[in-house]
Amino acid sequence: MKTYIAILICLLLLITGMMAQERKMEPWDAKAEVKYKKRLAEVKEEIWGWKQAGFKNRTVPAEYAKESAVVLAKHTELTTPDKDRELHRSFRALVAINDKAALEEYSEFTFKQYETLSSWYPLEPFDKMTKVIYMGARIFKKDGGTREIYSDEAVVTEVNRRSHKTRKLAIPDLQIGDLIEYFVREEKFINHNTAYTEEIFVLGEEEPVLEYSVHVSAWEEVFALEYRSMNGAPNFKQKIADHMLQLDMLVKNVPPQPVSLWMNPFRQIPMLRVHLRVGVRREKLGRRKEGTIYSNPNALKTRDEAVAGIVGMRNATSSSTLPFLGEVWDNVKRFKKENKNVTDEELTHYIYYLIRYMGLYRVNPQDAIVVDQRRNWAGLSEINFLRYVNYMLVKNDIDADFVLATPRYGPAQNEVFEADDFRVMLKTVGKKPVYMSAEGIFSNTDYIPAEFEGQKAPLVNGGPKEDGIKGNVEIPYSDASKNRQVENMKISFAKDDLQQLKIDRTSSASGHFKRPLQQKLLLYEDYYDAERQALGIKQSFMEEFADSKRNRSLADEYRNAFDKARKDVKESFLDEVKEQFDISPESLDGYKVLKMGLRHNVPEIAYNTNFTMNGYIKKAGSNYIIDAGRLIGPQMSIKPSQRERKADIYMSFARSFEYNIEFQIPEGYTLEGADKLARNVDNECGSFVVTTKQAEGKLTVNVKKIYKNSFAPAAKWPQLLEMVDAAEAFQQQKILLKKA
Amino acid sequence: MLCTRNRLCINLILCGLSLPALAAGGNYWPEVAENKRVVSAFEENKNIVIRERKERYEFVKGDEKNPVWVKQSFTTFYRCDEYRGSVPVVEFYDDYSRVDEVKAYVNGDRMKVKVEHDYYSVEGLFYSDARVCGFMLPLEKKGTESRVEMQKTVLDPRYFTSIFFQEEFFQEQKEVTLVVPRWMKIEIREMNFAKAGVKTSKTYDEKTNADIYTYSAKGIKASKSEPHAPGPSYLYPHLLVMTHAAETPSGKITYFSNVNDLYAWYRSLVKEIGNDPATVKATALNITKDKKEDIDKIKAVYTWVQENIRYIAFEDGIAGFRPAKAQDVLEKKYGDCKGMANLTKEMLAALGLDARLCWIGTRHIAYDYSTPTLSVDNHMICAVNLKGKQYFLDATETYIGFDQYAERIQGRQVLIENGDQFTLSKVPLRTFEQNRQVEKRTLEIDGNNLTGKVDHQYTGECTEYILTQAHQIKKDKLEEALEQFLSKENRSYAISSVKTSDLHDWSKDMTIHYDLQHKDAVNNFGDELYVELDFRKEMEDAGIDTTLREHDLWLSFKRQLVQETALTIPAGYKVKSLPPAVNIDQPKYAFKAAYEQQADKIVYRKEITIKDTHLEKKDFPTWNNDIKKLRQTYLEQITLTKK
Repeated sequence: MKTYIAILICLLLLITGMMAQERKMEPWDAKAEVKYKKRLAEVKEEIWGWKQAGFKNRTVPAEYAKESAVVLAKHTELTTPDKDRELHRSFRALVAINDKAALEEYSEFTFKQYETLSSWYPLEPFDKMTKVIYMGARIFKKDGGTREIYSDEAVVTEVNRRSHKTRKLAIPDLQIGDLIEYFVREEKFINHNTAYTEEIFVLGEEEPVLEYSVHVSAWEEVFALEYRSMNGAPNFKQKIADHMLQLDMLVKNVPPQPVSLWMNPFRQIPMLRVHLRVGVRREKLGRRKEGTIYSNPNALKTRDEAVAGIVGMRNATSSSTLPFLGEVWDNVKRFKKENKNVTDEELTHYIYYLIRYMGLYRVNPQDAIVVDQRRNWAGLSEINFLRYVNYMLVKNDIDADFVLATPRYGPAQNEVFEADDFRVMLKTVGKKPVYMSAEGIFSNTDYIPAEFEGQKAPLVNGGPKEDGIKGNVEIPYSDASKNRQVENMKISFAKDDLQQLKIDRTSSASGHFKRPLQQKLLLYEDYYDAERQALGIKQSFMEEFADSKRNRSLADEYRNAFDKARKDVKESFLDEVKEQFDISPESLDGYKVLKMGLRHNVPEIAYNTNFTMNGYIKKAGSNYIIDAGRLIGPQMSIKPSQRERKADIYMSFARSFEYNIEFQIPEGYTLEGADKLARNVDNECGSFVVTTKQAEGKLTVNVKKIYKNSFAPAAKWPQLLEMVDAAEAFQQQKILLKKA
Repeated sequence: MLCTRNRLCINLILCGLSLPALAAGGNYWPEVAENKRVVSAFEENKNIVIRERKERYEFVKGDEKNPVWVKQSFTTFYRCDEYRGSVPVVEFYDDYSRVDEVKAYVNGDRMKVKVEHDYYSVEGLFYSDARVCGFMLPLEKKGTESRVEMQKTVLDPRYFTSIFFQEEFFQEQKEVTLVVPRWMKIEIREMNFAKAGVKTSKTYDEKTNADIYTYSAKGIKASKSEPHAPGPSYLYPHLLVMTHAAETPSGKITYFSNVNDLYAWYRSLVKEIGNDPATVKATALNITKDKKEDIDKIKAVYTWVQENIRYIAFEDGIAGFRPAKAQDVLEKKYGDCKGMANLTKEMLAALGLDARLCWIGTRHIAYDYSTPTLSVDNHMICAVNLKGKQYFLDATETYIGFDQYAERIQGRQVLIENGDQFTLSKVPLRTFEQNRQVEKRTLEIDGNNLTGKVDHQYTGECTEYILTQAHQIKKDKLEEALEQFLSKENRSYAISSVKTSDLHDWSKDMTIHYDLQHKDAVNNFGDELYVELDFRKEMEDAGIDTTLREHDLWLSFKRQLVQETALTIPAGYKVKSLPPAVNIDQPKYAFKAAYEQQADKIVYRKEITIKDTHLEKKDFPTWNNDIKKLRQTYLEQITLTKK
């Protein structure tokens, strides 16, 4: 326990700051508390004074009696009290507590009373760099009684002089059947001319909402407002009156969002996005004209801002954005010298992998020694990495474009609202473009992250002189065959115990399946060395250290750390087997990585595991029943509440699974029932096909499960269901090993 | 709830809603799931060891408010044996202690230490006065040492209760020194020293007129955290320090020389509570207005507190020992164990019943009140005397019935208030019969399916587990979650027409009834039908990995699971073979399963009984062997053949 506590504490210490040891309130805190209480009194008077009709409601409609909680009313206000860029965001909700789960959810609130908005400044409550939160709650009892509590009564659970003060509020006298009405008020300043608030109002949440209203009000002399309504959400009612830009929305009876599986909220659920931003006299990129309300602005304007951002990023090349440039050039020059006829495509790959190596694989003497699985999660900033690659491509006369993609689970190109809605890839120009992204330490060329597939994206020339957009590209979808998991299993029966399976399993994964397995199973020592050699870098850091008087002991230490990591990786393999079969093996007798899949030309990770499994063979008299269906591992099960579906289906990517299971029939036994295993479900959305072959004392079962597309309209749901159900049902299938 | 913008929001929907534990599993054997391989970051850490740790504790004169302090100094030498790294150095303090100074040396050179202080938050604890300070200590390279020197003061010797020898790293050498001036009266009890190899000595220092106790040991293994292990006071060698009294210039201060003193101190705190009986009485009368018998009134009050008072744990200085006012807990509808016990007691007292507060150490603690220290207890409950019988009420166990007791308090000694006196008693022990789950199925073969009706009945802690899980689920999702739980998320085990007893009434046995269609549970090969009757296979995974497990394993509670299935043999078929019976009856548990043909039926009856929750390491081989036998019965099927 103490160990866990120690780890926990240390993690805590790494992210929290200095605080006084004494418990008594420090002077700065005590002084601020006086002001806080005074302001809280004003805030609660203001917010409880709101007149929205929904807050007078005390009745839960019969149709929602079975809901855990029902939001009778909620209202958000975004206001600017004066012209000095102060911003107040207030939220008030009235919620009926219908069960214990809701009671637990609404009975405690944690909030940051003060939070500094800049890491450069220490916490100073009520200055322009600090956000202050006030909150209050009142309970309406069934018998008409009420009870109130406010944030100044909450216990303090964290004080970090550098960044924040956190409090926790326990709601008194809250019981099932009560209504809780609470508010949260944030007060802060907008400190940058280009800053804006990011608000999303989602009309479809877990709880039904009977009345949902929003009011935004900002000084027309100072601010600009913009909003976008999406997926059928209404537009705001807008007006400019009394020097204020105003937006209002009132929506009644928002039902709970019914489906949670394979949804894409940004493209399916009605919502409104709002920016309140500091205006400027003349509209320009990144700035909006003061006193103006932009209703559903043209997405091209946002795109142009994103393009300008990319251009600026692309051109920001300096020694700080291009570290280790000399070494990169040395290696590129050597590579070109050693490969006189190198093609642009080959050089592109080389540059990409070289920068990946320099940024993530290489070790410096002063680095902390991290060579276990933690290292496999390392990554580089998307922008910084791709800028570097682009820079080297340009300098080597290879044409490339930046691809401004909008991820599938964000807004579509025609509904972007801010430059951050875009992400970036790099793509070479030509008939066979090489796509490049920054997906971490195992990121490779010729790979398009699943979230970008199928998106139409503008292109920005990688060359330094071109500033506008160059055109668009339709990012291709990957085929199910590219995202593939294959399990080849040779199964024999233990001679002394027919109920024990000996499994020799070779597995591979490609496409979007690859990276998680690489992160789980690969050892830094192995991939470091493989990449170093592939890049033609002669000396390893271990050799460098061994040659250096100063760092000689480091080589020894790394050797020890490598050995420990290699020993510990067995746990990862054990875990991988358990995940695949949903049961721990009796013993893991062998494990080995066959292919690391580090590059585009090795598109899969492959590995072998040898283990024994119990629990798959049932004895019946002198015969044995084999749970053959369970050998493909746990299959997806669609719950009753998910079986009726009206929403379109958004899956991460098209994918395929293949299981080739070969049973060695033990001597003295015959195998029956293999014919019953066969399945053939094949439709537009997917397929589940099982074939069997019996020959020479062996039964071979081939199972293929394919999700053909990443998207399907709701109307096709029955077809997808047919395939998923078939795979699930297959798990029950058995064959008989009969005593001859 | 975290007050963040757009609380609900996108992530929840994106990630899919995950239901709590009820939906995830079919059976309650948590220790089974958690007993799997647990490899912590520091487990078997051969890289960094403590070459030497010296601890010195000295009783000194304090100030007017706290006349006696305990000055503590710790010097720790860490050594790196394999590769460079850093170690977390942490120390806890609270209202009654402070960390005075921290110095660190890396490879002999003084390091500038920037000690970070923070509130210590623990999951499940709403608020604690505990604070933690610490920093990361680098170990420069293999073969080097880093050293930490820390000074700490405990401001009241009442709170200085124990010295443990274990650390989170292997210690090659350890020395603990206690300097006890003769004006300070303490008792030191050596705990778990039997195999610890601790050498002890006692000398007298004339100059300071102090006794000096020295304890040294070599090769102390690192502490290891394992799920379902006994508490540290059972596992590790330690010194239990009982501070009896101090002779100070202003007179004698009595601390805890015996349980009378301990009770007197507790009593003094209870006297300060400030309960308002009138407020509490009105509610108590309302709750019991329909009850005539005292026993029914007690049950009604207990159930009301269980259902209406939320448990929120507070540890805040002296308030960590003094219950909150009953009227405050009643008004706020939340409280910690002391607050809930005090409210229960006050309500019952208001009804004229003989109710008392009780201090108790749960089974996590190895001591009883023969060792009067503040380490002896960690919980408070209520006792009520009625017609010569004593009942204990622990309302923090939300869904346990009256006169049923959770494993954690069963058999534990309780200190019961009795005016200025006290009584010592014990919470009754309960057998597995308190906690039963019975499943009865009547099934027929219909093609490849088994169909029929199923009844479940739960009692005691089995009920508590189910209801705790059920009430965490939002009620619009409860029905589906319950089905998922009962079917182990297997759609082939299709459940319909589920009826449950009142989930808000745990004074009666909890029952569940439903119709079942277990698809493809029957396999037809030639003239023969193969049937698997055991769907749940409880504890098949309960083997203990003896290569990893270091400590005894304490199962959550005693219980009995009974499953009975009556299968009608289809017309035209007869039994060809039935699986052999298993009949294991050990002192601590029993696993029994048998198939029997009774006329046109096959009756399968299984009983899994945990009679004693404490599995000692010496029990593991037999336990594993018996689990293997149980598992083997799960791997047997019935064969029916055509007549």
